[in-house]
Amino acid sequence: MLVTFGDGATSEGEWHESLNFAAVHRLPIVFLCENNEWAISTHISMQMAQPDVAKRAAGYGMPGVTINGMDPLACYAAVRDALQRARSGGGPTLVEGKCYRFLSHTTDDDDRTYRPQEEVAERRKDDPVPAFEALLTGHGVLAAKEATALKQSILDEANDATDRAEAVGYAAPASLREHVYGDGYEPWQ
Amino acid sequence: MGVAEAFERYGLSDERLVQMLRTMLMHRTLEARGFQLNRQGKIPFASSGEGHEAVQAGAAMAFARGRDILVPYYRDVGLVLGVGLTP
Repeated sequence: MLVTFGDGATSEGEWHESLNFAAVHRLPIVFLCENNEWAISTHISMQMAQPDVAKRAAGYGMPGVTINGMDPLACYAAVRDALQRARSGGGPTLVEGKCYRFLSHTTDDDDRTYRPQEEVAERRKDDPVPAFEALLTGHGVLAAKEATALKQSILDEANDATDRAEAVGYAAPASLREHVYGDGYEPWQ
Repeated sequence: MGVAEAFERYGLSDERLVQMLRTMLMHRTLEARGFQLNRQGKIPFASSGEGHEAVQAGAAMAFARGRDILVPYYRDVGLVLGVGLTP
């Protein structure tokens, strides 16, 4: 099993209980923390005194691995190894991918109210998407023309999905009650 | 480092490397689209994993669909795209 969460979640009691239980029973779980340094408006320095989430793994008796979350290949290798350990009966692993949240938490949040935009601009230099594209084109895995075509096909697919979603319209209000209870139980009648 | 050497240690074919890039690009595109639609008043809410594309695409590539169980969180658009959810 692969379960994911952010840095903020690791302050929850449930998180600690889960890791302890998983380690005691050697459950086949990979706990992947996508540490983007911001839990909505709480910076990681206000979230925890130990900035490396993976170091907590030792406290529970499981392996902890910290990786560069901006490197997709390093992330692939770490999660692959952890999943193999889980599948072969080796128990759980805590993997921490250090990345960054470039935008606000959601559309209801405005990060300009709690963090300097200079920090965001500085971290933007580590943007993993153009970096990986440059890595692949630079090593001849993908030609520049193919990269352009790939991006166009992605845009086409996104546009098509948007159009189809807009065409579907809203669900009927009566459907609100579907799949809430099973076996025909309808307490609202 | 030669072409093959840079990626050999990961055991990933060119096709799978491009697939990872595709997942990352689609992740970026769909979430930007979500913010656009919200600002246009068409959807009430969107979150963004911009910056998380690498960790999610890497994890998705390691995941064995049909064998492993995935329990993602709200910011995992790239991860679920990578394991097969369509836009």
